[in-house]
Amino acid sequence: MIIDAHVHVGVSTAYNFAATADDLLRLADENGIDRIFVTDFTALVHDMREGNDTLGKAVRRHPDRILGYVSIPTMNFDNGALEEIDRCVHEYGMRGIKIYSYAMTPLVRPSVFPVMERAASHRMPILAHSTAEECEVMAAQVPEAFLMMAHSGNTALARGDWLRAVQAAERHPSLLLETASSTVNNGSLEYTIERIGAERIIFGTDMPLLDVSVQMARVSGAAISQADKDLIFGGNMARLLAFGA
Amino acid sequence: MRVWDVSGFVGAWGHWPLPQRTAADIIALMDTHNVECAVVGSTRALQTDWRVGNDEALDAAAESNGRLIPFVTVDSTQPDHADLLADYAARGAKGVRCYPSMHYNTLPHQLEPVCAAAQDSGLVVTLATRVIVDWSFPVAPVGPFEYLFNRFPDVQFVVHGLNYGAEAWDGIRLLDTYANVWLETSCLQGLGAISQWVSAAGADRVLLGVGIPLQYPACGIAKLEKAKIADSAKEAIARLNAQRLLGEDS
Repeated sequence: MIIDAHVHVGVSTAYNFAATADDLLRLADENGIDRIFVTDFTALVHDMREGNDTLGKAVRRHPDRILGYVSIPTMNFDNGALEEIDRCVHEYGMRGIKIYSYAMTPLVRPSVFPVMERAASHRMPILAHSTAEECEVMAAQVPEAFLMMAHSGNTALARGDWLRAVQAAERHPSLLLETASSTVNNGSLEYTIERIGAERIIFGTDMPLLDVSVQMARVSGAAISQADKDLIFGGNMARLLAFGA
Repeated sequence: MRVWDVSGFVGAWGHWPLPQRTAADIIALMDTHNVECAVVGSTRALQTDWRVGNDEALDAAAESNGRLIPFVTVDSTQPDHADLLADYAARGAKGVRCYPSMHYNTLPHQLEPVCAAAQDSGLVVTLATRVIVDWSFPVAPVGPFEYLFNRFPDVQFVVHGLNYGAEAWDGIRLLDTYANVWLETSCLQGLGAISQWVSAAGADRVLLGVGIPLQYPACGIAKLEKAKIADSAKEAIARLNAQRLLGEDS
């Protein structure tokens, strides 16, 4: 089973993409992806409740294909985030939380920790667009939460320092690294597995921003075992979400 | 699909543990991914000693049985470009790579002597906005260098390093505006970007870039294999355009 843990639905003027849930499922089908774990862009940057409702309805239409992240804007962490998490869990069965760090609005603030604690209480993994330094603080403060570092440090925000992300994951067993990125440094996945194992690496594409075939090839074309590829492509996420349990 | 990578490198790499560092390592990696030929520049010339690095790239290519095609990298502040590039061309170099963001934040006028010398020696000029897609590396905008495309209409320029969003749109504009500009794909990671370039500006001046061995070869090849374009366009981008540009199509 292939699960894509990093998918955006909606319209983004900043990143120049627009995709409906049906568009995303078509892309998933074209690339052999069984399930997509989705965050709504409107919820992340414009209207939290409107965006989460839009995604929630898509989850209801495609419960066997779409997993939903409750998206929480950073400035909303102490402005209704906990209630929104509970609402989206109960109304739509959402399974994860998406949070986002910006250069001028960092994630690490006192109000993020209750969000992480609530995620842990619901057994929801958190996809955090963040830096290694921030992830270390968050993982140390709330080690019972499953924190997935989006892009594994391969962002401008994180200065492209994926080696630093690996070091952070070495020190914090609850920190997982998600693969989506336009960076495709040869040997990076092999190195990461050597240092932290394949069990804490999560496959993502960042569709519809990034080319799905490139993100697939980053894992399928790496010099790693098929067993490790299977874990990264979906086994690890299935374990996190207790599929089949 | 047999492919040529116009964006390869040869040499050691200090930024992360890279599995391949020798020419033999790189050719073995090329074999694994059906990469027939790679245009290579020296990583040493990129970052430290460009004279020694260029010698290493030229030597590696000379011993590669035609698998590696050398491009040189020069210090754009040196005054003796004409003699240097003529000598490099005589030793087999097919082009020269310029990295404005990596080399002193090069100003456009500083590249005029390089372009003039390249024109005299029949060398292709690669203008790189970034080395690879790595957010720890600097990025140069291509705009300030555009006047070179007009100033040297007989030089064939390869614009290297465009990524998604506005950069990809810029690529279409460059293809539409300048008949002597070619684009390579090693850093083009947006969804469907190759298809967008081809549908907007044709496939004739689009070149497959992989970035071997710094970037995963499978990634660079997959985006072309999966692109929703005609098979003839794929073949042109994969290999035929590069052969035509480099005079290797006879």
